Amino acid sequence: MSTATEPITELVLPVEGMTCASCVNRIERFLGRADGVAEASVNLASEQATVRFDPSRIDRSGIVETIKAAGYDVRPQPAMATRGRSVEADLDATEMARAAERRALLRDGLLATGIGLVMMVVTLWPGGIGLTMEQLNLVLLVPATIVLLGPGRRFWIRALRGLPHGDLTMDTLVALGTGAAYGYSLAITMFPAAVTAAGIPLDTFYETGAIITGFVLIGRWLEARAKGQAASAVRALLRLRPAMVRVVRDGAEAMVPAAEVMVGDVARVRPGERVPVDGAVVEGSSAVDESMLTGESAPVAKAIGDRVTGGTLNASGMLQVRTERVGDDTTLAQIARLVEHAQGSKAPIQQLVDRVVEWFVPAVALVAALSFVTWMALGPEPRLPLALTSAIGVLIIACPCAMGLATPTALMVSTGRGAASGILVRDAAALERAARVDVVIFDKTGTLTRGRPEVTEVVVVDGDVPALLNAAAGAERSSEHPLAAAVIRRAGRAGLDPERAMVTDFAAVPGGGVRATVDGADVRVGSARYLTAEGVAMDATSEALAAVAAAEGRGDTVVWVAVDGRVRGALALSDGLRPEAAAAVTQLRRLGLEPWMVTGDREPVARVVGAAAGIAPAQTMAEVSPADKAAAVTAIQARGARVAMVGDGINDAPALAQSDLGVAVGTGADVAIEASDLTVLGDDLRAVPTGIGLARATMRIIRQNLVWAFGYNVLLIPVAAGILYPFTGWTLNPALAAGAMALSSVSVVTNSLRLRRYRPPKEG
Amino acid sequence: METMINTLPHDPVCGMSVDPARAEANGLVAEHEGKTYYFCGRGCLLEFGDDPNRYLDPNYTPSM
Repeated sequence: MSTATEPITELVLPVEGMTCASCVNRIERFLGRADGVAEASVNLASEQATVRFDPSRIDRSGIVETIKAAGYDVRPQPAMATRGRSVEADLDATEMARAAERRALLRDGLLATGIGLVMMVVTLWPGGIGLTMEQLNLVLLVPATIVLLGPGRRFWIRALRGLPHGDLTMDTLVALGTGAAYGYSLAITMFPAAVTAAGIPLDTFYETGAIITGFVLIGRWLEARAKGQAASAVRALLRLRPAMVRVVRDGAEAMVPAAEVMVGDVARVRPGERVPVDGAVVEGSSAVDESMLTGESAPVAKAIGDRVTGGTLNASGMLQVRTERVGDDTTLAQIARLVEHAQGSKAPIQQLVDRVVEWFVPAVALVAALSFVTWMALGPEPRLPLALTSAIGVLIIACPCAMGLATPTALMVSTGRGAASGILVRDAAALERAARVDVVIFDKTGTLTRGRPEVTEVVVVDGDVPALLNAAAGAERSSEHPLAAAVIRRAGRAGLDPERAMVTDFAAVPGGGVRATVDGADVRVGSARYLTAEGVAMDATSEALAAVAAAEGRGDTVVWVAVDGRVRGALALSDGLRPEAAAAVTQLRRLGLEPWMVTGDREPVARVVGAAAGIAPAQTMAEVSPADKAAAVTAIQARGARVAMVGDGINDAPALAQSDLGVAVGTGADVAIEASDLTVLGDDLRAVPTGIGLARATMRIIRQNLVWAFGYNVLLIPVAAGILYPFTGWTLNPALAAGAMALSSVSVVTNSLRLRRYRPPKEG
Repeated sequence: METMINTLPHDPVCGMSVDPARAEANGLVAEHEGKTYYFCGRGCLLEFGDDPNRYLDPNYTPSM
């Protein structure tokens, strides 16, 4: 959804010397004023400046200079010896750190739970084990302390860290709960005489504290494990690039590590191997399986001049590829970065959840205190243990960690699933917008159609087909218009060589036609209006006129050819509708969306193409100039609809920016991935309904997660507080509360994993 | 710290209290119209240098 002509690049720089928020403002101000910088965001805590900029107007050193001008230094980066691997290296390092953390969680969780269970068994051993209560308590004190200072340490550390800032989190609740259990038990152990004198039994809660700690840790381990699975899609993508590349240098073949391949190197790819780099085919031909990129499993034919993407699978033939992009610049690395960025982004709905959690924690602490006080005032004997049990139970059962997981886990699985189908979403906010879209507008040329016109008919008025084609192709030889390429291809198919003719005095009139002197003859090729304006008499046979009328009725574009001032014939060209366009439109309707089409082309052409795609005439807008396309989007938005605009991302930038969801399709894997809201790799239009369907499914799952996590907590808090006690004598054992809470986290994560199996709506 | 917090000078740009000894050691000091000012960091020092009167205006509220 960017209006820049160059892709916006993002750079994160470590900045030294910031002391307070004024420094942040100063740097952001300086960067914001720099030409080419779209957005600058400086974080004091992480000492980083995140800059989004247009690389054609400013580069890294320019940004560093700007920061220096503000008075700060950029910490020098250590020389990246293996620049080609930095995205992978980052992900690998993160993954190793996460794996280590997961192992620690599991180890500590099992340890705490094990110790707790042993303590429980000892306490409940039938017939006792020959120790008095006082002695038993002293014995149990030891393992309980071990659990508190070992596995349970992390809750205390985090809770205390947040306290000065007023940050109350789930760690606070767990620390309070286990702390209360331990503290109370310690008091009983240390002063048994006083306790008995007060009428309080000598039972302690040591095992409760240990088991709570253990369950919470195991719950966190399960969460971390599921998160790891969800994030694996990105890592799997990056592993598709071979580590060793067969490079041809100076005529000799050598196996070179991927990091050492340079732009310009020719790589040889055998059948069955994965393409190692982004580049163009210089020799050979083959079919390449691009499913890892686009999700389409049908192999794509590649011949000399065609582009290939690193990570795709070479199916049948030998290919030699001239490297154009390596390492972090490859399409694969860009996809990985985009997916990571999207996974880490904050969804608007998540911000709402965060606010709820903010007041939730203190509210829960209050309820726990209230229930404690109430039990102490009203409760049956023994009051203190009962009051304590209920207070601890409330603290534990109310843990909002499942709520905090609801959105991020669903987002991670969803972006991974999308990437597997070649659908990339920019961030979570874009995902939410995609789920709420009502109307989808397709641009015609290049989106609904292939953007590659072909000559469908040659109409002769005077002379013969070869002469006509020779003249037309010769004149069009110097034109870059897509119609010109079509004419030249048609001439080629007739066995003519457009390069052989002597062509001089070429001139092109935009929107009109071209003229040139071909082999001494004056040739004009263009619309009827253009030729008439050039003084050519439009004399044609009635058959010719009928054929032209029929072609236009079909929606073809017609160009006339005149040689030496007389009409010789006409060529009908048509830009084919993509084969899957009609199916995509049907799928959109099935999702309840309203498909529209906009085009700068003339009315008759628009009508035909629209009808073929299944778009109603009332929803077809023709003869809309590029500038007016954005206005067209606004007009529909004014009716209250949320509009998605589907285009190629290059020519319809203003309309894409105006829409609620900008979708770029068919940009091809060889174009740097632009930050549209939704980018479709490959060019299958069915990815649009799939993407929107996936976004909706994701939001559904998020809502389910939130309802489950929140509702679950809220329902059980009263039970933990003891509301059912007067009626049924039920209270909630805090250890069970811990188990239940861990279970709610796990079920949220499991529910999110369902998104892996999302299937787009079936056609037909 | 021997210096009481209330008697420490304040950075005129962001309002933070500044330890004058530390500021002098790091060159985070500026003179303007005969008076000496201390700063929390380079950013505030530079800001002040760019437009001292703005920050010395009695109506200016030091903030981050």
